[in-house]
Amino acid sequence: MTALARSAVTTSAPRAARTGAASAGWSLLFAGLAVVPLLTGELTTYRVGLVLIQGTAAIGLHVLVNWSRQVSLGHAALVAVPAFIAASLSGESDLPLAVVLPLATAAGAALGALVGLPALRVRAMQVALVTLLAGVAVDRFALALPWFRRASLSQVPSVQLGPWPLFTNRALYPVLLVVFGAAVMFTRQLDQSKVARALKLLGSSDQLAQAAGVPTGRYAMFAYAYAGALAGAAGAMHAYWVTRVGTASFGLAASLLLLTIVVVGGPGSIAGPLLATVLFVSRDVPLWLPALSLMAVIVVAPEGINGLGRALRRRVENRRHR
Amino acid sequence: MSSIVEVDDLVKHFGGLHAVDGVTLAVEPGETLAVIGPNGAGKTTLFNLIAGAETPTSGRIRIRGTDVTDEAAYRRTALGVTRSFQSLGLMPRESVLTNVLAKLHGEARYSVIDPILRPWRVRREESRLRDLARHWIEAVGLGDRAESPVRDLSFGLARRAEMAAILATNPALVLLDEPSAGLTSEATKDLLGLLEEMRAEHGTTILLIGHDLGFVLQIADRVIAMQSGTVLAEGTPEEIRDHPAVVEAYLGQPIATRLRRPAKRAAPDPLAPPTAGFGLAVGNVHAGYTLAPVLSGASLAVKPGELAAIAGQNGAGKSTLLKVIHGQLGLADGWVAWNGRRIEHLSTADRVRLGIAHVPQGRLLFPDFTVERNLLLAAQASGVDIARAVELLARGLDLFPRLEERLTQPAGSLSGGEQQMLALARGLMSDPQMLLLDEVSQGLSPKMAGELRTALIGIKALGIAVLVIEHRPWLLDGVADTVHLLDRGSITWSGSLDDAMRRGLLLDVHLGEADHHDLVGSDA
Repeated sequence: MTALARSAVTTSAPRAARTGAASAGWSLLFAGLAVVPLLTGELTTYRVGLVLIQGTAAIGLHVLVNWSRQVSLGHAALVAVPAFIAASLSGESDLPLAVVLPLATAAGAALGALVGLPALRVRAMQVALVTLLAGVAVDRFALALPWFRRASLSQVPSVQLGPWPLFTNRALYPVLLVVFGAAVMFTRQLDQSKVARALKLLGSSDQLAQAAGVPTGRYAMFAYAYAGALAGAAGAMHAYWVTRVGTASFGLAASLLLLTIVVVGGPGSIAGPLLATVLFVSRDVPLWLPALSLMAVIVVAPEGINGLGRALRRRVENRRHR
Repeated sequence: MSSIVEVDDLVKHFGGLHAVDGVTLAVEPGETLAVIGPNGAGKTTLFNLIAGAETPTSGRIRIRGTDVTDEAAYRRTALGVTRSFQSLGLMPRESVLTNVLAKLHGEARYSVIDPILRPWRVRREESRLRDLARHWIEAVGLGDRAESPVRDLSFGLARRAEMAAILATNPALVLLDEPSAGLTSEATKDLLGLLEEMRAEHGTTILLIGHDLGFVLQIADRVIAMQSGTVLAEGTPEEIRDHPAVVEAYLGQPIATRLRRPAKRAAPDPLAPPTAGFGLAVGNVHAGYTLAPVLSGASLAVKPGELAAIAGQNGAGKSTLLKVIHGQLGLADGWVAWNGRRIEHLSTADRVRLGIAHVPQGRLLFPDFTVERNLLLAAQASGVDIARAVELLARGLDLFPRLEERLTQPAGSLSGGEQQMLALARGLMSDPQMLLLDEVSQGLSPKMAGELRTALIGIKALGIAVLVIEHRPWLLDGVADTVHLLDRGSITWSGSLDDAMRRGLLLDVHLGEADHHDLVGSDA
């Protein structure tokens, strides 16, 4: 092509630089997170742990909501069921973490896929409704089943890592950090692949995705399964971390908080939802904060924390033009 | 070698509407086939059927010998079919590179879970795909914008990015949906060059649909003209251009009985400030969407009681202009004035209260309500009191006698044409001083269109100003005081219908020959 000669300069530098900077940022974050139990007390470690657990679930929901533009209104249910399963398996059946965690993750994925089943055929409203109903159904009925109720009665035993029992949260913290780290790593790997692009195409429009050769139904369901898997892992870690599972932590309010976190986080990097998690979960925030943030997102920065830089830039430019 | 696409007696019905009604065609390897036709001819439906976005009512579609009639769109992509989108098949938030990579979905040889299980394999494959994508991004001259989000590009550059994505898939067949719509003349030339290069270097087979005949006739080897869902004519671009049936299909009925009237001229000074005078004035309006600016400095004026028509190609910005006047779309620059007062900051509801009514394209009636209720609701919604509403209803039925017989029927049971009439009558129920009509004659039978014309004369006689999007001369003849030509976002010519006809301007709106920019101010 003659046009080829016109611009033969390769410009791969900015991308490489950007991914490099992002990787460095993540490494730094994990280095910081790793020393948390060494520098702080049991309570702070516990709180940070809750953020990591919620963050793991949020990353999964981010993929579903901000990539593929689908909704799960009852996402806490996908955390709850695996949490109860984990509590029961480790308590009553005395199974080790190495078995419980994969099982809980798989249960979350299966539940996610089940909830997302209608996405094979339709998108948007109907599927959202199914997720809402699933959330309510789990909250009201499933968790009231005898098997689940028993799980909520007893304390979840400490994790046994080889010969060492991890009695305290500070001792368990490295395990949690590894689970959270895996969620971040896997999602970032996904983001650098055709999967993320296919889901984002799907989020743009079904027709667009189909025109690129994406089997839309299957990918839509995959997003639900992936979100479910991370919710499942978060659920299992919740059981071990809090050592008790109760329905109170997984109601509709919890689902809405999760959804608010990813919407406030905004499309783009997983950093946005994680920052929102820190904002809303690190301490007992009053309920008006997420609500107000959501309004701010809708009015001021439609692309959430991730798009804040761009939104501010635009405002400044517009002012200058006036 | 056999045909790339074979379409056999394809039919698509939407309810009672026969959008495509028995079309048979074939696209040969290496050729560029264009499908043209006026609005509502069925081009887009045909395109969607071939692309797989719609399923046909009957008939078969074969692509490279494989019957794909019942296959989902994404399976056709696997057969080497790539399509463009009229409104750009790109994700605005993502970079050019990511968009091209996204289009290469089928090229990526790894499974959905490989990014988690075998990231090294994915990394290797991704680097190969990135090189491929970069090659094509550079080939279309966007090398230095590869990392820019598409929404930061102009519409023309974004269209180029889409072409890069299409080229990268090494397609056996490219489907182009109105590729030149919304492009500046510069960007159109640019696109033409790109397509010609594509054909010359890769022998790409192209099937495109378009309104912009100037563009279509330059690129196509063969042209099929459609009308009312069927093939009207087929031939070389030259044959089609001079084909009497095609010319007539575009312009409607021949003008046999034209009233001789003294030519009036009402060209507004485009940059004049809002006058103290009455009526509507629009000045230097810029508006549109982030990716596609639609209006760029449009100006016109409509006096009280005047009936003015806007003509222009699809994508010229006609509907957008009406939306700006009615307040459904904000403007980036310029002003709108009504009876000497600036109104661009007012809400749509306020503008309705000031007496501007809008009848949008696609009627938006309440199908389950009776005709009468549809009409009275409209009056009520705009704050007209009951007594006046009854008067208005009587007036509306005078104008549209056909509706009187249908008063107690549900609006949904009316024929398409009757619904159109009802939409118009409803527009009058807010007791407006001005009516904005968006393509009201679209899809009407000649008989119904005739009734519409009579109604327009009646509306004019009531002293209500009308601004109508319409380009069929016979419908405007004896009705329109002024015709405004809208081309690529600005009014390039204003004058009487006779004048427009004499200059062949309306013909050019369809057959896309003249560059209207040259005509600004040369109206002597």
